[in-house]
Amino acid sequence: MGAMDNRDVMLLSAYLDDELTVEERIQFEERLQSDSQLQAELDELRQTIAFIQQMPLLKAPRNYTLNPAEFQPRTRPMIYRLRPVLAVAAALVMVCGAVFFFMSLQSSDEASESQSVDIAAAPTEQAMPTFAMTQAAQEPDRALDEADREFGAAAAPSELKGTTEQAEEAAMAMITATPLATPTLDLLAAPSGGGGLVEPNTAGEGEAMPEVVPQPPTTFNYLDDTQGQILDTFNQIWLALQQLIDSIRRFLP
Amino acid sequence: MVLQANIRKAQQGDVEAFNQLVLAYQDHVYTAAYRIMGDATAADDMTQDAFVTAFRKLGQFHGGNFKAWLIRIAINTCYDELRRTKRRPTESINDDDYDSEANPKLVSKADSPETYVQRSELRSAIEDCFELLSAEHRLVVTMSDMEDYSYEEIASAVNISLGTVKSRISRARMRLRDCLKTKGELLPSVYRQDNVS
Repeated sequence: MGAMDNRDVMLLSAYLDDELTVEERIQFEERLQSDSQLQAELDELRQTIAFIQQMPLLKAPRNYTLNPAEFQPRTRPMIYRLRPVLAVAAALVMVCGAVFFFMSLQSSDEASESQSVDIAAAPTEQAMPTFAMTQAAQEPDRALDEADREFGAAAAPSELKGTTEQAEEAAMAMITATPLATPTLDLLAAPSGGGGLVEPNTAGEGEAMPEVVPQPPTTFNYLDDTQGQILDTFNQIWLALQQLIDSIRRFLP
Repeated sequence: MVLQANIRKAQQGDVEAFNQLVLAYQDHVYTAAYRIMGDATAADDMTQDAFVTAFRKLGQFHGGNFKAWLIRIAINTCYDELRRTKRRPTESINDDDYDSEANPKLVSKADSPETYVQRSELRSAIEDCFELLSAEHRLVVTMSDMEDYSYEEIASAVNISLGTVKSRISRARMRLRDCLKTKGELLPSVYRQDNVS
């Protein structure tokens, strides 16, 4: 019996397993009628499958029963069933603790900062708050920029009208802006909400410094607000924990 | 009814009920594992793993043929192991593994001594030839010819294409056929291939 090609080998198996399409089956059966070799191969293959199917059922060498002590589902204590809830509660407590810790740190930092502001507002030249310096230094820059713009506009040939007045204003702006690079105490003493320097200091060096009116310290009000926020937060956390505990109690018998 | 009751109880966690199912089907599961793995030790391990897996997946059984469901788990367990170890069977099936009472169609005590010898020779020849197949061929032939899986089911379970299934099954059968033809003298005349073709 000659060798068959792979396609015919697969066709034979698929035919016996009824895995051919209707068209394939019709074509294959036509070939079987005219091809005795193919028919003989089919018979051999059918016999081989019969041999395979006659292979004996083996006896298991032992019993594969499961040990009830190992596989019987145990009734676990309530604490095991509540583990997810307890885990969430623990995580919540940790988060709240961390939030409280950082808020405490923040409030203590801001309290010390407020104290430095009060010291700066006092009629003394020793302590100069940094933020006042910054705000005061920004104003001359703005004045200089404005003077530059106005000076440029005055120099433009298309706007000759009124150039004298604009040049004078620009020059004045530059003059007034320059000495402000060294802020004076009256500017520093201005209330923090006032934005520092508003008017140029035209007073001479020998003139008396303007009277500084000490502002009432707002530090304690601010701290009171912060403490209030912390207390509110704690109240909310406590309420949430109580709700959580109530929900846990509902699980308990 | 008893079977269904045991399945229901086992699904509720009753290990004793599940063990009744184990005793009823362990020979079938072990045989499928042995055919695929090719040695007794591996088949023993796979059978145990298959029953443990079956117990844990009982909730996924929604009716139908419980034996087929168990054997599918056994086949999947064996296939996973074959993929993991890429093992090739080397041990032969010895007579200790064979239960002559399990397949009265092939070996019967009622047979005459001559017939008994003939059937034993036939059994040995088939076992020897089956053992020569590669693990992949043993797997698909076991699924197709012993457990009646369709080509599509085999392709899905083994994660290969339909064409590969066709090819593997046909090649495996042809190799078995060729092997049996070489043992023609050992086979009883009634099963001899020469008489068939």
